[in-house]
Amino acid sequence: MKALTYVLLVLLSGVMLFPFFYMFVTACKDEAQIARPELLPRQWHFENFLVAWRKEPFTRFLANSAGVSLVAVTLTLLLSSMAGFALSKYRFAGQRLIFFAILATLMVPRQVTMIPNFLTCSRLFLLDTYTGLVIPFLPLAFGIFLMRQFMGSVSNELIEAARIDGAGELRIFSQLMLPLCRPALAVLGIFTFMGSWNEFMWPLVILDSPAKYTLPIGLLRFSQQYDIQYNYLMAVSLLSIVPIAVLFLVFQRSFVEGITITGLKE
Amino acid sequence: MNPRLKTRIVPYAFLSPSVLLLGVFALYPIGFAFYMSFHRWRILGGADFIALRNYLRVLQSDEFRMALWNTFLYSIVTVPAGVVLALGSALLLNQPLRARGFFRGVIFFPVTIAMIVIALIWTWMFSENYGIVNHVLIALGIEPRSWLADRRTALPVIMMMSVWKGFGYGMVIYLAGLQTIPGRLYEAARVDGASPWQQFWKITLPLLNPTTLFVTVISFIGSFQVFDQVYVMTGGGPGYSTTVLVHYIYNVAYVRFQMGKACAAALVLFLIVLLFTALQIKFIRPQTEEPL
Repeated sequence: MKALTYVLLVLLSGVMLFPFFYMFVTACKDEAQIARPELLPRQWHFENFLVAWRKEPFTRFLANSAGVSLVAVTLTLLLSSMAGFALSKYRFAGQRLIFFAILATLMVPRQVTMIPNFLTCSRLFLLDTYTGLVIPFLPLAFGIFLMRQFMGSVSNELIEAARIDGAGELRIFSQLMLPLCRPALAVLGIFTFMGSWNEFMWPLVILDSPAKYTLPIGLLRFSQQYDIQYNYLMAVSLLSIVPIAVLFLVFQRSFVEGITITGLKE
Repeated sequence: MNPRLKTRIVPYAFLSPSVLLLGVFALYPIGFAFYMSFHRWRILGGADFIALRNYLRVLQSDEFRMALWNTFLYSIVTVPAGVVLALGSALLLNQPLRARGFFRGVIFFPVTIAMIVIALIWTWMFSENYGIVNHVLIALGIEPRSWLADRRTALPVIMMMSVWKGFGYGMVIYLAGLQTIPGRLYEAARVDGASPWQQFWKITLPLLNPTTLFVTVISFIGSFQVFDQVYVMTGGGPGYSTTVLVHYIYNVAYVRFQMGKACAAALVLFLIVLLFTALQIKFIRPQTEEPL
């Protein structure tokens, strides 16, 4: 029984890993070898990674992706934890209304809001800008929900004690709440980064100038050239997933925790 | 400032940036999408009220019906396949095993990768001339195919790829769900002489019903919003054989700039998702409330 489990798991892992392996070996072939049926290259052309990277301004795309994702993460963490703090640790008029309005936005598919947001961005001159790329689809509703849940579990006495010691509200937030919420912030940060790094449709819709392309859009345009060479395409594709792969290897636990938290919220 | 007044302002101050952004980019657009869907939107500004005509045009268009049908096919295949694979792999990986973390990580890994990258790899694997799939077929003496340019195979390839990429997500949720089943239930069942097969059908599966409901609903909502892989792998073709709802909305909105009509189509999508979600919850819920 155990042996069968292992056999199944090894087979399954093979199926899951093979496409990535195929991507790697393709990236290391030269043009003549791509067409051949052998899986492995006769000669390994590791220089392809460099050659492919230089075919388009991929360094620029990488910088765009990194910048956009980091700003998205920073804003999401800051704004969601501020709002989560207000919703979980204060009582004020309109509290329930605001919370339910935020939750309601989670129900609506983004394709619905994307069209009005496109027009809004066009009116605010945000089409084809980094600001327009980042601001409209920050995962704030999800973030606020998560932070509100997590902050709700911080004891009120702790906050009262800090107040009696003369700490201001801003100080309580930044020096008491934020450090206590590190696990939730890690989960939210990773998810925001992943979402932003992998985002496809919104940048496709609002970006025009190649100088502003993120990696996914750069990859798309590269793949749409009529004489596209798959070794180079696979090489840059592979390079584009390195940051996420590293993040995943280091923070696998947070990835899994994040899904578990969101999955069991009912 | 009066300290009482000050504390009363504090929560609003903390909330204001989020409320402002969500108001402008999440709440207002929902209302505005409804408004737009009843108007013909002119490119140079201005809108004419045309009541339900956008909706009628959408529902009567062949492209929309084809897209709806394809999306439905995509859902009906990928959702159950993904749920079964997620449950199966979670059951395998819920046992004490060597390298359990590794196996879990490998299955979950594609979930974290951008769809465009996955789509490019699979396009290459199924490429007509030099892809690995056709090479294998030729080696086996089977006629190679132009997978993504063939009406009969394009959508199935996209479905297969999407299930492969996504089922690790459900697995993680199932693994968490399995943790909540108390071990004493299995002990009691063993004492009563229940086979592993019976234990699965009588204990594991019924107690996982809330998890199954959640995974099904989430996958279903996701499947109706499928876009990236279709856009990259086939562009909706050949013909309209892989055009899906969001692809249709994309074309109407950003290629033809018929914003009102696109909003109507997007709201139809919203309605379908809402309806099916409610139905699924209604049908799966009663079983979860069965007493043990």
